[in-house]
Amino acid sequence: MSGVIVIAPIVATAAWPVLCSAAAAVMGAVGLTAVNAQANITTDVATETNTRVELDLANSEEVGTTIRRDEELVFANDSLKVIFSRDTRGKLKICVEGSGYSKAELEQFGRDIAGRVVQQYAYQRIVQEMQARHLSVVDQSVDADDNIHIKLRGWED
Amino acid sequence: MPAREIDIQIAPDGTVRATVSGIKGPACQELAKELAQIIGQELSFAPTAEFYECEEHRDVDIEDQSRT
Repeated sequence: MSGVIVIAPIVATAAWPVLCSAAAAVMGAVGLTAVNAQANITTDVATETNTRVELDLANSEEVGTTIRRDEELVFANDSLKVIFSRDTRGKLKICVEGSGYSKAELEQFGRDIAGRVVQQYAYQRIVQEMQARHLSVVDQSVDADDNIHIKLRGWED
Repeated sequence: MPAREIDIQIAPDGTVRATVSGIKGPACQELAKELAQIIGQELSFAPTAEFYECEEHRDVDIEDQSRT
């Protein structure tokens, strides 16, 4: 071995397309599907019975001009809705709404989702960028604790 | 040509731990730093024994070759 590095991912500038892809993968895994943001906001979202929490996406920075301030990514099922958007500072935030859930439950769900989205974001960025550097994925797996393992291999020039 | 390998573990909170192997010397740290720049902020880097091994150099005697 040569060295071990530990990195905290940052959802970076102009990474909105990668984030959309990561969010879609995570939301699909928990049974939420993408919905049309504008249509949904005017219909069933803000009912009085819904509980709503808002969370900052940890380690996010200005997402650049690839997302407008009013642009949102919305996922929903029968009882939950998750909205990814850009706040006034340009950072990403997650809003979780649901009926029949406490604020604490929604906050926990939101934090779990946020972590998984960052995990998927890191996975997609690593694979994409390392392949561009002639390192190929030779093995990958997910363990019982939901850690993603990737082995990349290349040949020195 | 030796293989260079990176073993990566991405935790559910997104934290990435990468073990770079097959690269001796500072080039290993350069690749690790490059990885950090791609996805976020480096929290720590711990070199291992191989890190301190010298890169291989091969000397070519040009004078001798020109005489043949």
